[in-house]
Amino acid sequence: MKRSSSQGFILTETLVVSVILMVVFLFVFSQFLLIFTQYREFESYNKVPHVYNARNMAIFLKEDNYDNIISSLKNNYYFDFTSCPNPIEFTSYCEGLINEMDIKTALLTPYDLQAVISDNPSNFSHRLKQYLKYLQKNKDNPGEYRVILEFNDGTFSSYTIGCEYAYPTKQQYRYRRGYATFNGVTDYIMLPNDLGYRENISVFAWFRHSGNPKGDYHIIFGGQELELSIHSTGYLRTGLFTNARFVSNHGGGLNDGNWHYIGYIFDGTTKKSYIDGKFVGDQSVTGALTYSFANRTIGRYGSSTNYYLNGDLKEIKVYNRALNPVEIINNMNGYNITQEGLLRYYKLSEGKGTTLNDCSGNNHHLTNVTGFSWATEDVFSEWIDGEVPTSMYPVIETRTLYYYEGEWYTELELKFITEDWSEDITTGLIGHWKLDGDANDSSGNNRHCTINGSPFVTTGKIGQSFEFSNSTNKIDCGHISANIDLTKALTISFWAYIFNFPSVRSGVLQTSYGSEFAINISSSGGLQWYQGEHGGQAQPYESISSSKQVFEVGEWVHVVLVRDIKSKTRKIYKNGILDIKLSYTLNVVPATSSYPLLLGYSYVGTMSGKLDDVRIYNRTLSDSEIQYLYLLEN
Amino acid sequence: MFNNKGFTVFELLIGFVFLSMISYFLMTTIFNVREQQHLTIIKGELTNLQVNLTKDINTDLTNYIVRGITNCPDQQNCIIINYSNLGSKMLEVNIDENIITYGDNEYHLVEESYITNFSIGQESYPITNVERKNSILKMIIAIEHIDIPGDYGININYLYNNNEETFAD
Repeated sequence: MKRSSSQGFILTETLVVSVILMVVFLFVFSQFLLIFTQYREFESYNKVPHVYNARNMAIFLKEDNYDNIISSLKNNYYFDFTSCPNPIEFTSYCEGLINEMDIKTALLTPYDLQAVISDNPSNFSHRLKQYLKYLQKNKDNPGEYRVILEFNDGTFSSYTIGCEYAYPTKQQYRYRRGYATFNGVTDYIMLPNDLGYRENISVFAWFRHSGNPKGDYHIIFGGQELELSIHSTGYLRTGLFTNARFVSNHGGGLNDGNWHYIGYIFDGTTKKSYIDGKFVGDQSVTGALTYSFANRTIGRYGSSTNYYLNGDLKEIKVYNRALNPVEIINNMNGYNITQEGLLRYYKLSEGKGTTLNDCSGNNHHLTNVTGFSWATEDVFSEWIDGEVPTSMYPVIETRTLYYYEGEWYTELELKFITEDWSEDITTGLIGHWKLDGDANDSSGNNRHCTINGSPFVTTGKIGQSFEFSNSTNKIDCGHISANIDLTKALTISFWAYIFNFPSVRSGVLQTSYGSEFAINISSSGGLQWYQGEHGGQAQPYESISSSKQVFEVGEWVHVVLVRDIKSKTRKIYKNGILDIKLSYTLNVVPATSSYPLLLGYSYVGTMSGKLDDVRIYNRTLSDSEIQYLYLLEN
Repeated sequence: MFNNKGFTVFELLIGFVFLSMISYFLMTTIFNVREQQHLTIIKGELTNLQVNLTKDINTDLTNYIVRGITNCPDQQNCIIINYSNLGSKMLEVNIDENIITYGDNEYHLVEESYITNFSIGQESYPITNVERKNSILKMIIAIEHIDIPGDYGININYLYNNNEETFAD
């Protein structure tokens, strides 16, 4: 541009500059608008309440016809279950959830959304497509599948399914504990006149009705100065005495033969009654509480010989204050038992003897008590974080709580062998090589093996074992899968003692990695289980790995591998405890091997360690059977 | 401009009006930004409360099994959630004081925000398989702010099996 004079701008120049300025302004404005729009859009993504809703839908799908739902993804890039179509089975619940969560569109997709995005479904809204792109671009927790939800309020959320490992969190133990039982005719326990409370009181106990007592009232506490009783028709009666008797009846259903947590509190003016942690009624009380009196009893109404208790009692607690509702429920659950104001706490768990220990810390133990009988029951403790206190009780079994793919569940019961516990560990046993200096089969099927090379015979976990250190030393059991099908349900059990972890994965036993199984030790002491469709040492195959170390250097470890065809899962157990449960991620159907079964050998490296007591079953052993096997051989 | 004698009154007027418009626009924008900044801070606080409260309750619902939910005796807008392996926790909604208490945690609402609804409902769907979840417990505490549209409360859906868990009252 050239100015025509020095006196100012010509119109053309002004226009050009204006246009340039407008373009710049428009560009800046559009960028701001874009940022603002994106900000508003991102604000509608993954709001916390809706993320939990996506998780809820994932839980629902996994409890429903999950395998078939996943299968439907093979033919489609996504599964739209907004209208709860086939293969969803529990449609009414699904519709209820969609409705309650105000969901507009519900999708199950593979984790990788590229195929869905490329398909560009016409029934997806523009914003939903944008959300899919956002998810694909911003990788979140990796997994196998995603639940993606569009809500009617214009927001979106997603939840990833799969690839979450199981890990133990809490433990629970079952133990045998005692309780007191009263015959309803003559049994009772005398208590001191003064228990220590003055103006307020709380008194609770667990009760179980056995039959109608003499006088038709089960007397937990008597007499009238402190009454806690149950009529044979099932209602609760609570009473106090000031300058007059105050007694009231509440609730019902206590004669059903089940344990119930009953009791009442008194705060100086009102007596409130509770059954199983629920408030069932109250009564106003006037006057000063009578706190000391003769013939205070458990199981009989004072000195009266007309009213007794026909049932069971445990966990009797007396406080010098009124408990609040939360404390009552916690006490009922045996969790975080309230100590403040606790005067007496008779667990009645001793199960034998004539002493009732006071666990309140006040040492008001009752001695030479004979007016009742002992009985025992097996009960579960609450879930605890620490070790099971086996020294406290005769623990019968323990359970561990696992968290797996967003779900809590108990995965194992580890019992201590008792006289009345036995499991069938012979059915389905197709080979049992004890390796006590020979390679003979003890299962009765005569699948004897041949010792190749010269593996050392050494001390084993049970008797003797073989020590392997090079590929020449191995035990050849021949082509056993030619005669018996090992491609379906399968359990392999063995004991292994490792001298050191291999630099590359090395074998423990195998047919071949492209067939039924090849079991390896990883360089970090983990376990790898290969299986494949080829029948030999070639693809296609797949492997699973333990989530943590299985083998220990310088220590015998019991390892069990289970393949369940029905649920398409494979499990690894270490010393009777489940390590991990995985699905057949590739849907590989194992083929019959054209190779022999070899112990102490694999196609990669040879184990440096000892092998003992190898068992193979053509069925799945249950958790209980595996634990039994472990404890039996241990 | 066609001479060098200066601006005419008309030109000055045009310039003045133009500058006034720009000034007005800029001032409005600055005030709007300041107001938006203030609202964004409040919105952040509302969202924080929503996230923390939702996580607080959902963490327990996820990690523990609910054994029962009961009303607090003699108290309105208050429930006791009884977890089988955690103990009990009280959820109290104090609408007058704008405070929500869950267990040991107390949540105070931002100024000029209010609890507009507290409700709990449940729905069960019959199924023959007694081992699976078949019910939904819906827990709503709606929180609104007078200047910011939207609900910043909690809306929790808890899936459960009514053969294992029953919530009386």
